[in-house]
Amino acid sequence: MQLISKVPVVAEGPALRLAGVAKAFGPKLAVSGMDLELRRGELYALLGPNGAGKTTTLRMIAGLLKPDRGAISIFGIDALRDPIAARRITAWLPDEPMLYDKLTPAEYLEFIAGLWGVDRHLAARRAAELIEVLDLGPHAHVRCEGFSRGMKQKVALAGALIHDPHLIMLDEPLTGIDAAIARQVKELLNERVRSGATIVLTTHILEVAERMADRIGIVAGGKLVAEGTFTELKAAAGRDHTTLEDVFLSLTMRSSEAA
Amino acid sequence: MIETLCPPGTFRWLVAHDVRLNWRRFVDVFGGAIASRAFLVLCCGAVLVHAVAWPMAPRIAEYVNGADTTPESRLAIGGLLVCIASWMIAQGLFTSTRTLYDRGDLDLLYGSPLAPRRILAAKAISVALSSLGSVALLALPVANVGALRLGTHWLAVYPALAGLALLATALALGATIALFRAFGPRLARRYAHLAGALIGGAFVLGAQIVAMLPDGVRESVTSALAPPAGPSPGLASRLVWLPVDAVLADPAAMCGLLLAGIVAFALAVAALGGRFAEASLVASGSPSADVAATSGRPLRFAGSPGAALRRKEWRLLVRDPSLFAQLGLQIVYTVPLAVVLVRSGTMSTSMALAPAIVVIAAQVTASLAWIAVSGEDAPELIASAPVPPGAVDAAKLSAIALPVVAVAGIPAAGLALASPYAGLVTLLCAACASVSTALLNLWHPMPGNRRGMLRRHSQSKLIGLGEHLFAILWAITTVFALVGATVWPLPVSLAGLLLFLVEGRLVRRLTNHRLVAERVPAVWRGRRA
Repeated sequence: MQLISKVPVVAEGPALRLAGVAKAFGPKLAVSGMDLELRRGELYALLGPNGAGKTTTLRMIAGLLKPDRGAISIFGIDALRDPIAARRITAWLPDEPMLYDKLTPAEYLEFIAGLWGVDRHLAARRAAELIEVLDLGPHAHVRCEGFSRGMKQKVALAGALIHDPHLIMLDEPLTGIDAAIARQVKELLNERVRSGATIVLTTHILEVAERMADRIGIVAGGKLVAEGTFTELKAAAGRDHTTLEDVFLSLTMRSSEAA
Repeated sequence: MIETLCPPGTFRWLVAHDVRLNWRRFVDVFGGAIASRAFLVLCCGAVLVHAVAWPMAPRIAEYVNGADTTPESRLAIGGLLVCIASWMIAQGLFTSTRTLYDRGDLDLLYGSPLAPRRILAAKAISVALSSLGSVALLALPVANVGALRLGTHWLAVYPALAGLALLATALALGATIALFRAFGPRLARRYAHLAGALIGGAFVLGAQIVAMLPDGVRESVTSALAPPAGPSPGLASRLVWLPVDAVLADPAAMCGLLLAGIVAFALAVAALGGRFAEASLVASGSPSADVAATSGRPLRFAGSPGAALRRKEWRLLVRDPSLFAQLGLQIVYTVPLAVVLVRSGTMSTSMALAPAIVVIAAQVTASLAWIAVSGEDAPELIASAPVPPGAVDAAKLSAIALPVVAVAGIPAAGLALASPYAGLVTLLCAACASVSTALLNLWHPMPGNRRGMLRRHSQSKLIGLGEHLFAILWAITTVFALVGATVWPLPVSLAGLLLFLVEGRLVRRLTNHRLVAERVPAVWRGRRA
């Protein structure tokens, strides 16, 4: 089993590049020619109405769906040609935590570290850190089946981070969890970005995107219709729009009118 | 029309709601086929089971002749009804516990202004129907054919079974609530499953033990149990033999059994309606047993992805006591096969165990393979890990090999002590049967919740049929090889052909759906939503 450090990551270039990626489910076109580029070490938020193609895009990047066409490159690795290498440096956290009710958080971390082939000493150190940072200590040896949604989300996040991924994909990570846990999660994500990881997340909580994201991409009808910092998006949307909600509604409406 | 017959909020309306949901689940078994196609399949199935029952009814009639039925035949019918009733109670326990814990629409219904008793009554009808359905598939075609060929009195089986199903449901509901109150929400589910397995298995095993007793002992046991002779038996005797008399078309017994069932059912619903609602609220969000913290041992990070996967599978298996109850029930119901072979006189006792071991190996492997492959709780996690799909499958199958060896390999090794040849043949056939059913489940995953292991075949009857065929073919191979029949390659060839056909479907699936990036089937993802 290769360790992450042995993955042939290209030293320069974007963290993630999607070129003309498309995916249809039967007659329904979920993603149509998505072009997206993420810089290294940035937190990128994907916004869009329900059914816009955000989650499908992330699932294709995570290797859970095969695009009908297009290319996906993660730190220079062709994710469609060498998905195993790409998965070694990525983490995928869906909106529904992927846990085993009959395992404890500690056992879950052991399992994930084993799956990703993390060196045992490294894994032990990271697990201890994650358990401390996410305040999982009192629950580390209790089975997950009685946990609240927020607790489950924290355990899943710890699992996603134990192999120190370069690219972290999160689908609605803050939905349905209380303010205290949301703050812990946000702080941890910010810390990861500061230490060089790249994060792409989807959210319906616009305030999260406005406060946390370095750049925001707005998806509508399976395409990226606007992208930039909050200031840049405001400028693109027009003077009257002062909040991200105004900007979001204006840009998505404009896109649907054009379609 | 339906709204006139079943006004919203009434008991009939709730039953109709359940029937509609169950019908849609049934249609989904055929890949979401249109209802008319599912109905056509149902009709074809009905014709088939009646065709199988056609020659059976006259043979049964040789032993069953209304009021003139001999005491021995009455005793045999009584034994059969006890087995059926115990099976119904076991099924009722499983279904009512599942209703309580798996919930489904229970939260929605109990949150509505409907009376809890009415909700429980509708749910209990579902429980009774599921208990009845599991027996009706075998019994009612024989009754229908008997009515057609020999006389309408055969239709007495209908009210008799309905009465038994209602009685069994009342008992099962009472037992479920009693267990819930006695042991609490965390342990009740486990004990309900164990009780179901014990009740279901005890009578089957008891009947086989009686059958295996020496002639003299068996005769004295049967004469002690036999119905009293004479024209006017006492009330107690009438009550004890009520189900038998009902099946034998005694009008008073038929009405009595049905009435007893309805009264018991109504009393159970009336008495337990509120308690079921309370239990349902307590069970909501209550974890099952063993949630208590494990020892705060230091974390152990070691091993390959394969080792991590195996350890995970073993942990999940060991921590699922209801799974053991279900597997135990599967094993118990295989034992009669050995008894039939012993009593046929063609094989020694030790050799007669061989095909039973093969069938058990096939069934246990199929169940465990389904749990490991299709019952995976976090399929997206596994699919997003940097482990090739083949390595994941290999690790999961190697994980289930250990319990299969314990269940089938150890008895086969014991058999080898009595007869090395029999032991070797059993071991080989058990291994082939295990590999066959494991591959079937690997190639055709039927995603579902691991708690529903015994109900997994409701997703695909074809896969269930395939599992049974593999078990039967390899058991026949074992018997042929042990008795020295030269035709043993025939069932082996059939099993090979079946495997080839199954694998052919795999190729199509691979090219269409199972590309590396799409390892997680849509339905698998959907169940989490």
